[in-house]
Order: sequence, then C-alpha cells, then structure tokens
Amino acid sequence: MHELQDTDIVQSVLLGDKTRYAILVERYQSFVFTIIGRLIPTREEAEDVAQEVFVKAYLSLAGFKGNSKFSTWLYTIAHTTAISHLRKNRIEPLFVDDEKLSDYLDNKQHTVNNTNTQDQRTAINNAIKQLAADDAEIITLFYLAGQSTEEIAAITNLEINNIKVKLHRARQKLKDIVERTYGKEAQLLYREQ
Amino acid sequence: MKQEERELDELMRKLEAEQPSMRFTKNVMESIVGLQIAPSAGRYINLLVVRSIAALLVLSLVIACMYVLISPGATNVPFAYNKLTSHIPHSYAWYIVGFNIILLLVLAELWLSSKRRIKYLERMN
Repeated sequence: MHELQDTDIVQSVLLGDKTRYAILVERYQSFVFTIIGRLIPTREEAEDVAQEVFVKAYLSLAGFKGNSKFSTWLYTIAHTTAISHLRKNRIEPLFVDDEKLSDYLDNKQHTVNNTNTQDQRTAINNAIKQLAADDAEIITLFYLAGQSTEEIAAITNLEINNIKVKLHRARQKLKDIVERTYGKEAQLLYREQ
Repeated sequence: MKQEERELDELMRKLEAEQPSMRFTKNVMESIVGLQIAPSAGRYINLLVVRSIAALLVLSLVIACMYVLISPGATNVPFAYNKLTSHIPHSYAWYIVGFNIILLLVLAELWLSSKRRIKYLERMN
C-alpha cells in the first residue's frame, strides 16, 4: 500500500478527519524534536516546544497552501517557535566559542578501536552538539531533514548565499571537531562504513 | 569535492533523528481536542475571480460568435448587433478567439483540479 502524501492528509484533516493528523505527527515528530533540540538543549523543554509546534501547525493548517513541501512549512514553524521560546525565556542559544571548544576537546580524547555504524552516529551526533546552535540547526536541516539550501533559507529567513556559506563553514568545523576529538582514529569513522 | 569532504558527507548522511517520549503523539492529539482550525486568511482562488473569468469568457464568446457568424452588413439581424460588430476591426477577431481559448483552459484547469481533489478525498474517507 502506498504511503499517503502529506498534502492529502492535510486535506482530509481540513475536511474534519482530525485523527489523521496523528499520521503527520508520527511522521515528523523526531525531525521536529531534533531540530528544536539543536536550539534548546534541555530535552524536556525541547519536547514541550515540539508539542507546541504541532498544536500551532494544526491551528494554522488552513494556511498551508501547498506552495512548499509540508515539511518545510512545519520546520519554519518549529524554527520560529523555538526562537521565540528562547527570547521569551531570555535564554541565549548555545554558541560555543573556540576556547571552550578546545577545552572540551582536550578533555575528551576518545579511543576508537572498533567502529560500527552506531559508534559513527554517536560520534557525529556528539560532534554536532559542539557546534554553535545555528550551525547545528542548518546541518540538521540539510542532512537529516533533507531540506535544500533554498528551503533552509526560507525556514531560517536568511539569504540563500548566507546559508551556503554557513553550511560550508559548519561542515569544516564539524570535520575539525571529529578529527580533534578522535585524532587519527577519525579515519576509522570515515572508512569503516 | 575532496575525498575527505566526500567521506564526511557520507558519514553525515548516517545521522539519525532523536526520538521524543513515547507519549508524544498522544499528548499532541489530546492537546488539539476541542481546538478548531483557524480559517485561512484568504481563499487560494477567490470565487469572485473564477466567476469574473467565466463571465468574461461568455461575453467575449458571444461577441466573437456575433462577429464571425453575422456579417457586419447583414440586414436580417437586429440593429444593435449590427452596429456593435461593425465597430470591431476584422483582425481583432483572432485576438478574441485566442483570449477565449486561454480563458477556457483556465476554467477547465480550475474545474478539473477541484474534481480531482474531491475524488481523492472521497477515496481517502
């Protein structure tokens, strides 16, 4: 049986079949939760904001015109909700400075003797968490959520060129983090796939 | 792209999303009970626009038919028709026909897309 398209589900919810909204929640909860988690590191808080995102999206569902992918529309709500949550609570998003990052890396010299896929995922996830919040969000949107640079620009309300530069720099930083954390063993992470 | 960058890229594509708690979907669905979807700020296609296009189509079709079928000098047609068509230059007839075809296509697209949507929703329900 083929998977229902997002736009079809949206249409049936708009026609009154509220229960179908659960399909969209199931489909996107982990992505929304991860994206918000890049900006709000506290797990419980991130989960509350993620729930708020789905409630907001439900209330404004009639405003989804299908001009973009449903996921792009949803991630835009996720981004703006997370940012306004940070502003409302006067929380500064985590922007790691180089000195702190250096200390972290010095104290965290891992030994990677036997890498498997799970180790690789853990390693890369840990490395992403060391990035500045906005870089981590862009990396997550690009690689995990499968958004194009144009779509990320729409989500974050930044220029496309700005996103391309940020993405390139974030990738470089990530590479540095992986290599500084794992030293020569970083090659094992790359190769043993 | 350098070999190292490509390898990092491949590694990145193995990223996995973090999972919220098991009750997440249930919590969201409970939160939306009793909530009503806010009406859209405006219809995607205004009904007035559709009706105006249809009216324009009918009107220009009538004029085109009158011009093509009734010769400007004919004596067996009402005076008003005769007077109206005699003022339209002959070369404009093609513009009117072209304009009508475009209007017809726009209306057909609107009609077919609404029909497709209804069919889809009927199948889903």
